[in-house]
Amino acid sequence: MSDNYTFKILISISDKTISFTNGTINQKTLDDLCLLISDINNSGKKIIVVSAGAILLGTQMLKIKERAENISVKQAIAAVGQVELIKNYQNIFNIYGQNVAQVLLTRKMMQNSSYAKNIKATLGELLNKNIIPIVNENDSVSTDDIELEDNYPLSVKLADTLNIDIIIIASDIKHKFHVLKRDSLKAVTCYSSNELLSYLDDIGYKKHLSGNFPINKHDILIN
Amino acid sequence: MRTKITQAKNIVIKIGTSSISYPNGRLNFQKIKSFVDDIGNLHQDGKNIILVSSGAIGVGAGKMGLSRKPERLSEKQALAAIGQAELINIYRKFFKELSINVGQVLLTKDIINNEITAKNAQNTLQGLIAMGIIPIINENDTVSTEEILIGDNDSLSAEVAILSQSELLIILSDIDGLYSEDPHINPDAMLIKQVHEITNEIEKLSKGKGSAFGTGGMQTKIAAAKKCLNKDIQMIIAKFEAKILQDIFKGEEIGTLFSK
Repeated sequence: MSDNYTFKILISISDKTISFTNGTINQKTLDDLCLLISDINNSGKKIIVVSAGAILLGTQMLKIKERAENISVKQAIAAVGQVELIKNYQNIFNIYGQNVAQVLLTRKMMQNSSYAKNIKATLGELLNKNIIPIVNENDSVSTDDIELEDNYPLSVKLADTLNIDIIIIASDIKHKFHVLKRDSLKAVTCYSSNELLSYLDDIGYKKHLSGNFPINKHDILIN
Repeated sequence: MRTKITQAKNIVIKIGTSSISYPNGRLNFQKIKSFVDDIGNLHQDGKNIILVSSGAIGVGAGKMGLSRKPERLSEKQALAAIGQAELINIYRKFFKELSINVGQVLLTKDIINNEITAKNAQNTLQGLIAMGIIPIINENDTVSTEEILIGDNDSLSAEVAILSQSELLIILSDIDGLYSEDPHINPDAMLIKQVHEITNEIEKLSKGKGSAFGTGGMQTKIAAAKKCLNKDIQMIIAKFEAKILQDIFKGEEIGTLFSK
């Protein structure tokens, strides 16, 4: 019997992680990621998914050929694509017996103390019920990260709001993950799902970690 | 004959939890389907429709196999996050059968009150409509709890009508409209066909409770009407049934019309 603390993990998935270079969705990679996440959840750890992909799927759904430059068109594509994205996750996770919930946030929301309290309560409740929250930037109301096209800033802000211990960044390269612990500035790289799972199992913390995640993703990866 | 209604082009339609679910809170798919079919017809007629739909908490409760009504606020929020994913998926499916795309927009009161985020939301709605996509709006219950606590999106739908510069808001629920007295108490109560302004007497009439799962009574609807009238937006309260929207747009005197 282990008396280890159940640590909380956030996995951050970008557009590039789950797409081919021609901009269409790589269903196999998405499926592999969902299987990995299901294993993490089934092993008793708490996991939150921050996933991009709405613009990717919206563009595909609406059969748009060129990259949208106009911001309101981009936002509209994201509103359409988010519906596709969440359905995709529901379908895959359903196979692995997982329930999902959709959470749309902005970094600004988490700076507001009453909103932050609500976000903590909702996500805490979901994790208690073993439901996997799928978080994305609420592009309809915020354009912070739609311009950045990277959800690392949102991931870090959410990790701080929820006292997340570990951030996993699913890289652009298939089966390559950067694992970032709150108490270390250096990311550990894992080269397969299995390697990642055993790494997480070996950590075995007694309590949650203290420290700060680097704000800039660049700082972690250059080591 | 309500001529102005027949000419409305930009329309917000809000449907309440009770209209699309069974009394136990689970979804009534037939009702949603006929609602979607009716919206599809309006879309085909060239009208720009924005939907505001409640119902996520009930769907989440059904998904999790809850037989009781959730009580704790954080539990309701969690169920809303689960249920919204399901609810939007059902709308997506039914609209797809009509070859119509939908976009999901989750809002809070603060978003609308803030100039920058309101502008962003407005841009998104305009972008969607310009592309022939139907926006489906709900409150973002993960971050805001106002409409969970009271109103079932009545207030949000008025804000959306203003934000999107629509000419008409239709609130569909399980009540026919505004009555001269509480129809549950006095069977002789009369349905009021048109209200030109929200007087003290009208506000007095609105004090009553909503159904078990929905939280919107007449009070939040009257408050919504007040907001709309201030901006010269017409509003109709009507009981949802199949084809009711078609009849409304024929100019028939259905429900209560709020118009100056």
